[in-house]
Order: sequence, then structure tokens, then C-alpha cells
Amino acid sequence: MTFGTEEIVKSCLQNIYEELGIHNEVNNATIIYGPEEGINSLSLVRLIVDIEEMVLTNSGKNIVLADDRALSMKNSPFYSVTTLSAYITTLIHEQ
Amino acid sequence: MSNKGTILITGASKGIGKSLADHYLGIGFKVISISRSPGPEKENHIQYQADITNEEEVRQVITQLKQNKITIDVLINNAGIASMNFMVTTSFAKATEIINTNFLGVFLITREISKMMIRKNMGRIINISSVSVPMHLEWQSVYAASKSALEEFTRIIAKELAPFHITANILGPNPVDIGLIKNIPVKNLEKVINQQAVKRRGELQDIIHCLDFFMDEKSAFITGQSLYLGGVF
Repeated sequence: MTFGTEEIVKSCLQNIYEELGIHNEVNNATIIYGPEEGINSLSLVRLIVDIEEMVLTNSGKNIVLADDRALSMKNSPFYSVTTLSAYITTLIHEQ
Repeated sequence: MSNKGTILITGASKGIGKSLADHYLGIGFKVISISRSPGPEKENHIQYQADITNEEEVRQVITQLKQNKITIDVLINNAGIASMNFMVTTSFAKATEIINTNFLGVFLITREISKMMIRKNMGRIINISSVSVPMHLEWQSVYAASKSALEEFTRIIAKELAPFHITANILGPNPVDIGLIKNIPVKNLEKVINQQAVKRRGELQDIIHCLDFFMDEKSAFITGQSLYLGGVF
């Protein structure tokens, strides 16, 4: 069972892009927070807050996107739309 | 209906926390409190029963706040436990309890409430420390260490949250005639007071005055600061 996590991530990231004046289209392969591309740490914080709120609204699940690998350049769950969506799905299913 | 804003106070069922809750309710704030044993119901006072060192209980409170569309303007991390003991006779269990409540509990609450403030792009966080930190008081090694951790935590989150117009500051009261000092021998209290520049016990109004200063809209440029009462430095 899924809660449309990819749609939530893409929607929230698109909003951040609009706030930043970035005109790229977000898709599953979009890099969110990587070593050479992606949004900055402040925007990442804002994205996390927005995603947690939207997940609660859509699924009733109060997840906490906190992970020791957040600032890792190798295997961060915040690296791309795909990795973050998978991470959120895991958290939702753990509850 | 309150219109001054919403304050969340931890440890508001007794001592200084209770007095602060009563004060801010009395002047028109809505007060949210989290404590292990809530007190009697009052208008504009929403109380949650939770152990702030228990992540699941904290998350349940946060979920209820969000579902009830309650947002927080001011967070006062007041909950804390004190302990006077020689380091060599302090149990590991007590040391763990002190660190958990005075530091990790604050971390948990602050992490979640700051997210609400980030969404609003504004907020005030005030962490209650103690003069035990700058005074390096004997018999308070673990307690003062827990408050030192809290102070460093506050200074760093002040930097991380500043872009979202959230301030984070530290208030360190000296001995006040309510709360944690009631079991401390008078002789020991006098020893502390004699080391202050202004040699008297603190009063609730001293604390409120400092909190009001940090909470003030005009204090937006003041963050990451420690303010100790009684002339302690």
C-alpha cells in the first residue's frame, strides 16, 4: 500500500523550486540534495517540514524525517526524489 | 479567546513552570503545557500529559497539536530536574535521568516545535538553564553538565534557525524560592547567593522580565545569548 509518497515529494519540491525561482520540472530522477547539484541546506529543511506536514494531512501519519545519513554524500535518503520517496514509504509502513 | 499568541511551556504542572503558565494565561496568552501530571483545567490552557524524554509520547502530542491546528509562537523549555551530589556518589541511573530530561527532552521538543515555527517563518525559543553553569558549582557536576549541553545546543540552533526568523536564547535563573531548590539546604543556597553580584534570591518577576525581553518582537536581533540573573558571569 502506498500513500503517493512520490507525488508528495515532487509537489513539495516543486513549491520550493518556485520559491527559489528555479524553473526546472521535478521528476523521479531529480536530485534533491547531492554533492554537486540540488537545493541548499536551508531549502532542504523547509522541504522536510513541508513533506512531514503533507504526509500527516494525506495519511494521518506523523513521520519524522530524521536520519544519521542526512548529510552523507554517498547514501543520503534525501539525495533524490526516488530515494526520499522510498525512505518516507518505509517510515509510514513502520508505524 | 486569547490574542497575544500561543506559548508552549514544558514542566508547567508545578514550580516555576506553573507560575509562568498562570502569569501568561492571566495577561491574555494561550498556553500549551506538557508535563507528566497535568493540573486543573483553565480557560485558554491546553495541557498534555507526556514524558518529554519519550519520543513516542512527544510525537503523539505534536500530532494532536497539528490535528487541532495549534501552532506555537513561543517555546519555553522549562522542564528539568536538579540533583546535588558528589560526582563519586552519583549513580549512573540518576546521571542518565538528568541528561535525558535536561538535554535530550529539550532536543526532542525543540526539534518538533521548531518545524511549526519554520512553517510560520517566525518564533521564539527560550531554554531555561541555570547559574550552575557559569558558577561551576560543586556537587552539581552532572546537572551543570546537562545545562552546559543545553546552552551549546541553543547557540548552534540559533544559527540554524535564524534564516527562518526564529530566535533561541538561554535564561539562567539564580536560586528562586519556587521549584527545584526547595530541597536544597539554606546554607548551600546562601553560599551560591554570596557569589552573585546582587546578593539576593531571584523572584518570579525577575524571570518574567527576561522572558518578556526575549519574546518581544523587537528582540528579533537577539539570539544565541545567555542571560544569567543576579549578576553571575
